[in-house]
Amino acid sequence: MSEIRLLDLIKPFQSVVPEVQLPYEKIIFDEKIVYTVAAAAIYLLLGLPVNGVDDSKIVDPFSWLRSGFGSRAGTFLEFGVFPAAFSAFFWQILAGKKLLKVDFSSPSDRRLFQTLQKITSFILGFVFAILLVFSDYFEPLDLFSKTEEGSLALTSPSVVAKSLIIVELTVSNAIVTLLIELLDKGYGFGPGILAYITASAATTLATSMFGLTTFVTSRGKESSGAFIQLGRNLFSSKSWTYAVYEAFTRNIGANLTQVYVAIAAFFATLYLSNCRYEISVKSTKVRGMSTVYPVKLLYCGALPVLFTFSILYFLNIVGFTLTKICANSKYIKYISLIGHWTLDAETKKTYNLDGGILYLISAAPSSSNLVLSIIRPFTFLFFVVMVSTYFGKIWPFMSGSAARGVAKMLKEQDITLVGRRDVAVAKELGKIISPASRSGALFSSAIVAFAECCGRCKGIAFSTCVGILAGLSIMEDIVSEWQQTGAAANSQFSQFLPTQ
Amino acid sequence: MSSSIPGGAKTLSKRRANKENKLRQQKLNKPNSSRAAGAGGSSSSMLKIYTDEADGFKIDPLVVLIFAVAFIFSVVVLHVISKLTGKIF
Amino acid sequence: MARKEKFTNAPVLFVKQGIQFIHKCKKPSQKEYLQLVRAVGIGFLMMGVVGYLIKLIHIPIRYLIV
Repeated sequence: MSEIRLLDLIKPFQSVVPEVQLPYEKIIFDEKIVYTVAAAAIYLLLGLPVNGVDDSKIVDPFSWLRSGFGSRAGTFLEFGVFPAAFSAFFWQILAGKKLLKVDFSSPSDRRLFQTLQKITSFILGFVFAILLVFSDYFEPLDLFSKTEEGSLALTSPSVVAKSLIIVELTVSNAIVTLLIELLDKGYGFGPGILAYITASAATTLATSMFGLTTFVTSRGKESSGAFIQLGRNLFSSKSWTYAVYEAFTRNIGANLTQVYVAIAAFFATLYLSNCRYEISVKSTKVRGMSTVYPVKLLYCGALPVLFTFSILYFLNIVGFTLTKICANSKYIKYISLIGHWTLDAETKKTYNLDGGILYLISAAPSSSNLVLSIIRPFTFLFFVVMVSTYFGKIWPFMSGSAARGVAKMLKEQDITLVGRRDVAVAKELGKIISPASRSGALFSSAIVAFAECCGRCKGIAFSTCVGILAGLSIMEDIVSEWQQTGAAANSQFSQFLPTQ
Repeated sequence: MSSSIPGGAKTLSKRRANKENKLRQQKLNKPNSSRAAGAGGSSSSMLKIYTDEADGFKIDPLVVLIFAVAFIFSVVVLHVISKLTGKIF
Repeated sequence: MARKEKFTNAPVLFVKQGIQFIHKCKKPSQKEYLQLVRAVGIGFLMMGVVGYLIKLIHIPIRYLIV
């Protein structure tokens, strides 16, 4: 008992970490909606460029990873919800595996654990900001390609500018973490992380269809929305077939193929998410009342895929910055084994992985090395599916929603399985829940990985799948609140929401 | 069928095994997460992290929102200043 | 030896259980499915509109600062 636990080490910091108050009284339904929408709007509003950074000129090596985390290159959402999500997964799994000693039955330990997660999220934002700044990630490409013209804007940012970027990114990451906490504490709907992911995915989908912003490319001005661009093509180009073909295949911005892939992913995910196994249950108090308790196929929702991609994101940030920072050291030979990035020749907007270990677990288009590019899709699929399935296997136990937890919950509500003794409930549930969560994780990750590795969908399949599954979790939250409080009678929103 | 002496070595070992089993059960039953312990927290498909009220310095939710907007505003002002003066520090 | 066997059997068992589960699964009926698509669609559309408006606000701000 005398050993020092990691949790005790953070005790001194506990009092300085900002903490959103728990609501004094229950927030009513309408207020919750307002809070959720306001928080999501502010989250999205953070997508403005950081001082001293031109986000339209950033060459972004993480573009295929960031869409599912609601992050945007060169803006205050540089990391999105990734630091919070990563620290949550990391510590929860360590604690669940008993590598970190936390006594969850004691409230003070639970609070310390929560503070630990929050501090980790702050620190991750700070460390990533430093890594990115010192790997020259924020310098526009022009700086390297045409220095001889020597215009004022092309000088490398000074130390002050660099530290300003670090400070701004750290503060904005802290704000995002607090915004997450705001929704988690019951002011709004759903877990904050998932809410912002949903908002961001919906925005991405909307703007990739109808985005009005234009940017200049080698072919002239182009719109970010695929349908807008189609209209623009139809007006400007000579042949209509070319215009349509172009809209489906363009490489900068979203093209129509990606939009249709995203819409297909929308319907497929919804279908899968509605597959469930129904256990008939009955009340022990009221006679003759029996209903069903559904166990969903996608028992863990978006989390397995999110977990896998958060690992990938982490590896990519660390790998990329390490290779850039150490580019001139003598160990570069070994470091470049991690990964090797080359500039996408056509768009000049992304670095593509084309070698190293990280290439094998990426959805990068192609490599100069033929052998690597042949085995890459298989290793990527294998990695994503394995990690997600493993996560699907352990997460129910980590989160207390495995068989024992559910059995306990049912017992508290005086519900029991039809035709089972009380003792056998947990065992019977286990037979259903654990295959469900594992095969659900397998399915969702296989779909995402498959869509990502064939065709250049640049994270669109990932972002839509995760966005919809996250949205479903939040819907569950809304619906349960709706039914519990009977808000239907006194809500302004009752006419908009489907009543079931 | 077998006739063993009551209270013999066998019973003792059985008792010990039972006790060990019980301890193991207790260890297994120890909650793995805040939700398992009966407080709020992540469930199977929701990643809820901050549900307890820790002893940090407390802030109102509105303050968070206002602070975020103020941050965005100040940054925009900084952008405008650096644009007008024509340099990035 | 027994441990090794368990190790090789695990994936097979896992696949078996998975397939079994999917056979037992109740697939959504068309009506349910359409209802769900509508509900989620409305939610997604609402968030999309909010996000789209924010993007529209971003245009003048970006014009101001870049």
